[in-house]
Amino acid sequence: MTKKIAKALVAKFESVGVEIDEQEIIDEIEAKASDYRIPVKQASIFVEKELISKHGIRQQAFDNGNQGGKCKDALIEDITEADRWVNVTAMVDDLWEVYDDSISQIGILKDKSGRMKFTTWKIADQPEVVPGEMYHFSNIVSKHYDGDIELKITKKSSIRRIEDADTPTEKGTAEFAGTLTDIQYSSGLIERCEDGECSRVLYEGECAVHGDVDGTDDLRIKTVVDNGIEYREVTFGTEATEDIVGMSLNEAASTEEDELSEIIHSALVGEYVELDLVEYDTNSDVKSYEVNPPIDVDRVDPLLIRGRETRYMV
Amino acid sequence: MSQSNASTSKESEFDYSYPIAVPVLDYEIGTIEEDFKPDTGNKYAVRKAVLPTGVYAGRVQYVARVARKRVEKGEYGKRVQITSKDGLYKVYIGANEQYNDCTERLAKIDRESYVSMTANVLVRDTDDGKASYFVPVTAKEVDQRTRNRFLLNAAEQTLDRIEAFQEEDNTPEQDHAKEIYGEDHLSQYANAAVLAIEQADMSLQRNG
Repeated sequence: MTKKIAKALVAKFESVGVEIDEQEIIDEIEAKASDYRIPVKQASIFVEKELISKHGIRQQAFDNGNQGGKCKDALIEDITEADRWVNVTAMVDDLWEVYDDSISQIGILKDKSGRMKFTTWKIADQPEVVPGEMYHFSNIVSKHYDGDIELKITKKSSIRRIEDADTPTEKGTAEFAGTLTDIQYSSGLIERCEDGECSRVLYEGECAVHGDVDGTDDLRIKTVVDNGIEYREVTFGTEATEDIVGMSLNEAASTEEDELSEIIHSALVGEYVELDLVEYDTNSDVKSYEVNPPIDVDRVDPLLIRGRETRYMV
Repeated sequence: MSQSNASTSKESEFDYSYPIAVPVLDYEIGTIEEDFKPDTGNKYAVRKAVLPTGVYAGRVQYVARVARKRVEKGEYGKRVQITSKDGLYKVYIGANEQYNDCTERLAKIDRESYVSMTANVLVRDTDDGKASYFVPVTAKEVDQRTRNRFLLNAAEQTLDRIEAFQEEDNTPEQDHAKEIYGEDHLSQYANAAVLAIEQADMSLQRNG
């Protein structure tokens, strides 16, 4: 019976974003029942009250969290107090290294109003999110941590990726050159939605619009190119990716993911690239590219003269 | 596709979190004496190194020639220490378990190879004063041409920064650099730029 009560308590606390060890609750209940010679059920009420107090949960929030109350959509800047259950549409701005085995992901969410830290515990069993991508987070809860408010993604939360939320607006074409400093997630072999004209990239086998659908294989490489002054987020499409990895889409589809990833990394990261781009609001597609092109030797002498003059002047 | 106006980072104009990786020559990396967390109310902001040439760098780009390499077994993976020596100054590169993929790649790179890296530069107090630590985030073996191009681009941007520093109205980043490094320090970085260009020039003449 104690185990059953403890299980229910674990679930209740999870619903407000607090992960508690079941055995810890069993031990507490049994100790109280023994010390005060009271029934297990009554002891469990004391334990619940103590845990609510220990984790700084407001009773009302605890009760609301367990009534399955409807969450409201919120902007990050409006989430100023703990224990609020909200829905947030935000971009994953950054992910950090995780040093705690009980945490699945930790990072920063960003919407048009601001940024906020988020934590997903392993026990929540949620899909992993990807930096730079937009998601709709339902039923997530704000918590105090280290003097700040952060968001917790729990078992009760749901995460839906929003791919191409708006039709990207083409801003024109541009040339850009720099060092390719990063390969972003969701590069390599991907699957696209086959539903009608939709070609959104599937995530965990699901289209953001059409749900669980069949997918068509495709190749792409999402990268960051940096010239030391500014950067561009740049996507190499199917043909360019086939060219870079030196294999067709069909061959890539039968290649191990890690192997393909290594080929892409070896071909691009740290290399200087010259690009012709089609630019959109926040990213660009590659029209044509050259990796490590010949150096324009005519630039050397003027640069040397300039360097010597500058050295003399300063 | 020339690069220009390196006096200030444009990072703040962009929405999210990639720190601009500034190409920096060995001499400048080795003389960085201060890093800091920007006081923007965002405690998760990336630490920035104050470059002596008057720019904040969340990350740097560098192409090293591997002079010495030592691989150690750490608690959670490998640690790799590399010394890069390019004529003027040694750079001590310490790859750790935090960026495991990068560290594994560096462990496989042979001496005398060229390796292109983006890295965080962190500053620590030591018994001998401030010391800069070069912590690679990405690494890949590259060829001589990539190395030569890096020398030219990094030298060009170093000269851009020095010239911008000489202008009458200094930016807050330049004022900050002046507080740390003084006002008469720029000639050594101009000298480093000249040496880098000469080195690339010799290599280009030799190898075409």
